[in-house]
Amino acid sequence: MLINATNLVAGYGGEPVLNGVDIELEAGQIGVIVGPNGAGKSTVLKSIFGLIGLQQGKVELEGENISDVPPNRRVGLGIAYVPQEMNIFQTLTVQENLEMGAYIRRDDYTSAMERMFDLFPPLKQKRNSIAGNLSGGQRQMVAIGRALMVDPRLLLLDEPTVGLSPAFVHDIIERIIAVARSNVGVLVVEQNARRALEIADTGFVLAGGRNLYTDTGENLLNNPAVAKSFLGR
Amino acid sequence: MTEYRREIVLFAIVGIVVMIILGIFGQAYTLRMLVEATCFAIIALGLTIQWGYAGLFNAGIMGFVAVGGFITMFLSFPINDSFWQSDAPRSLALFALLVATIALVLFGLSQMHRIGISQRVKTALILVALVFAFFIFNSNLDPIARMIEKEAGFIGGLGLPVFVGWIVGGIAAAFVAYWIGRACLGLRSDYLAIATLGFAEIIKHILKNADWLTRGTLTVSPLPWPVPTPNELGFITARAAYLSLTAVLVAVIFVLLQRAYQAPWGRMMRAIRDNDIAAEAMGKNVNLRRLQIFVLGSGLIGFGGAALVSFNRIFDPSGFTPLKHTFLIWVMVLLGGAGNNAGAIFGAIAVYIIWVMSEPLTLFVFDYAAHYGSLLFGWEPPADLTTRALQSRVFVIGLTITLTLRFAPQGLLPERRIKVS
Amino acid sequence: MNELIFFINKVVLSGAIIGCIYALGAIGITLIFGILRFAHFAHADLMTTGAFFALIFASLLSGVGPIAGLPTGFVVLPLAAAATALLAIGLDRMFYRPLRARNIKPILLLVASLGVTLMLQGITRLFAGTSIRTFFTSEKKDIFRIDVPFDLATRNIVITEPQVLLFVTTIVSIFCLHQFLTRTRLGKAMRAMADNANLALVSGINTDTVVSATWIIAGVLAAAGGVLLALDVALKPDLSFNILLPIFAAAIVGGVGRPYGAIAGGLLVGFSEALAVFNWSLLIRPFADFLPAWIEIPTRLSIVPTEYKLIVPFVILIAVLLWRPTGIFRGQIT
Repeated sequence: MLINATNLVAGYGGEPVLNGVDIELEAGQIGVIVGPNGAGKSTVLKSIFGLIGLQQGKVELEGENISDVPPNRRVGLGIAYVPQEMNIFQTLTVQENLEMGAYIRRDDYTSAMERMFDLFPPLKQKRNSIAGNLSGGQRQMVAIGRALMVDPRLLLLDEPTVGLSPAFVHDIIERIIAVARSNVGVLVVEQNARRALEIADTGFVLAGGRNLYTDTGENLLNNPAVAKSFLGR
Repeated sequence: MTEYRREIVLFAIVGIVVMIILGIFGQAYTLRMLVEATCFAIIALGLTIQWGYAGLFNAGIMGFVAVGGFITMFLSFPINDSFWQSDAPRSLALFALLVATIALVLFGLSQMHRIGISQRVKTALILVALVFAFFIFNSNLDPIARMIEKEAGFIGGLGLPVFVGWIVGGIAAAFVAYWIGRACLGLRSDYLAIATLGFAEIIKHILKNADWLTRGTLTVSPLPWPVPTPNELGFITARAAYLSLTAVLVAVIFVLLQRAYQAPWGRMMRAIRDNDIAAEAMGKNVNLRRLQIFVLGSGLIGFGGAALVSFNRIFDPSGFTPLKHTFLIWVMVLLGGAGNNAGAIFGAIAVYIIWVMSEPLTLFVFDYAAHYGSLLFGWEPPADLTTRALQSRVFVIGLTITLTLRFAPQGLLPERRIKVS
Repeated sequence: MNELIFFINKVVLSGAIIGCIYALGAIGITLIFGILRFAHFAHADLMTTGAFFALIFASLLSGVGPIAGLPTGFVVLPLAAAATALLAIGLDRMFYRPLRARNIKPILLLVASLGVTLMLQGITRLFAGTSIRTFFTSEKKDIFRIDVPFDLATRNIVITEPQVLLFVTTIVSIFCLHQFLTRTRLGKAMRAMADNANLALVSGINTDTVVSATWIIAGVLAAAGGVLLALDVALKPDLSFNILLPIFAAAIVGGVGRPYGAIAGGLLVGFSEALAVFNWSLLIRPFADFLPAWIEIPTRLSIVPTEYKLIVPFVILIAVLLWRPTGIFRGQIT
């Protein structure tokens, strides 16, 4: 098991947002977290990455308890996180953004950078452009590329397609699948539940800070109760 | 009673310290310290409503103190006959007319968008007009100022009762605060701090260099008192009379502020301070409220400053320093507990005692060090030891700020949060 | 012609000199503002403390200067800079970091820096006294008089050795800073953290290291500015307050968080000061014959009287704060 988070209880002070969430994911698989607003989807990613402390529960990475490791050291353990907003260094160039992603690497990471440019070809010509001047889709590529520079075992993506035009959404989803094929576990929070579950190996439906359903993406899509409450129509 | 134990204990400690000082330094000395402390308490109350109630960082306290002090000097100082018998008043009146005309023209320009002139042209015209206005202002004021300085020294006062000076001083400070606040309150808090610091410095410089109005570095003295002066009653009785006046003022202001704090107005101010976005969403006019409290607080600061300057009997614009008239007051409010009026009064008295006492204490220590240093190591102390000892208070004030922030960030008497159901 | 040389001496040179000093201070202010998000009020006192360190080292190592052919105060600059950098880190550890750890409002860090500035002031004055100190008690200050190859010019362009050293040091510092920020891993991390502190944390950037680097750079540049200012004029006790608002003005004019903006801002404030108090009638007088007779050239024609020189930066500061709080280079991303 790549990541095994059990009974997560966490919040921002006051009432906890998560009231006992369980997340499990194997390497090379795509896990999708869906649910209504306020269900605690983003909070799950933040607590797996360690940005907010756990009140209860634990996070295990390949069987090792990492609950007390601070977030900047979790990067070294192979977890990369792409926040929903403000997820690039706007005043740095594309290449510098990728270099910052590789900050903890002391080895030669030129091959990793070339891989990013292969994965996101538009970034190659723009490598010396200021990231803040790119289009929305390209910024998202920079954001994901930055996270992938450490060759993570687990990639956490918080609503990577929000605000993008349909063509770019398709593009980004293709890339996510490509990343997962290279044996990286990808945990995605998505607003657009239907399309996300289509690519999910495992889907987690959250509501009120708890797991409501956990199943394969296909089964969830075919589950009438899920379809009625969360997929619309 | 147990609810107010902290207050009672802390004020009792201050009382004991005052008694000790009374025993060592005598009545006249202690009374002077207490009068100044009460004046600072009024100023600190002005700051605590700005910072404690509304979260406004006013680093320009010195400017408002100076305005209050200047106005009270101008209104209460005896009339200077040689000025009124010269041509200067007529020239000044004409000059005032000129200024009014310039102001009218500028106002007209600022309204030009109403007749369909674009914003950009308007701004350009106003800027050009401002440059011209600046030169016209300077070139016309200069000869008048020189004439006054030559023939009359300075324009003197109006000979009005001192208390009128204090009240108008407060109003003038509030008026200045209105314009500064209108311009600056939209800034984020650290920029507001820098801007107000700059404004205070500008006010001080103008007062210091306008010799025709304030005698500048020559200073104006003796300022009249609202109570009989030491010449009439002797130091102790006169200072005691002054102290009873300022103490009553502190008490009255305290009661009024306490009521305002508990009134709906105070609740609203705190709501804005704690979450301005939510308050705005609830339909409160946040900027207007902030301006209101900035003006009110600065008015109090000006009033307190007027009382302080009158007591010192001398108006010396160079004597206003950010250290004593801005940062010292910040320490008072921080140590006392921002947002707690009793805390501000406690802080004012306690910190002023620290401020006054750090000099003799350091001298005491220095004397010992010099004595034993020369005895044991043959150390020859530098000659300016006494002026250096004065600097220890700067250090002590700085240390008090950092220690307070570190160990009692809410102050010694924290704001009492009233439970809102 | 002499009038032009007078203009160069009074405005171009003195504006550039004070502008460089302001720039050296403003870079530190702007970096701290960008990385730690608070207005560091103790910065001017960090500069004077740097000069004070140099005074101590110079008195310990007197005689080093003549060997190197430079003023002793300048030769000990690296030592003073190192001491100031250490002091800056120490101040952060003692007074700012504990507050940051409690997640307090940045404005309270500003208050803490007020406390620090008073403590620094108090300590330096307790030990050094309040009299004016100079590096040139035993050494001579070299003055270069540059002849201007024109017949009409009888006066010289005057520049002193410390002023030349100031220009050289400023240019070298800015070049090194630029290389550091654009070429090194830590420098880029610093820009990244100023840009987006949360993402820097998420990327695994060790923010403590970046903060320490910021204090080191700010401390070194502050010491350089303080020492060179003290070499140019003298170390006055009220120096720090007089440069505090100008360096804030410079940092804000340039847009906080932007080192290059701070340099431009420093020069702008410096030149404005020099221009504002310059007596323009000197430049106009040679043309008096061409002007209509009814125009009388006043003996003093400056934008503001000399005694108001100090408030020039305040006016610039307030104008920029009100007109463009993000700095005059808004919209341009560097």
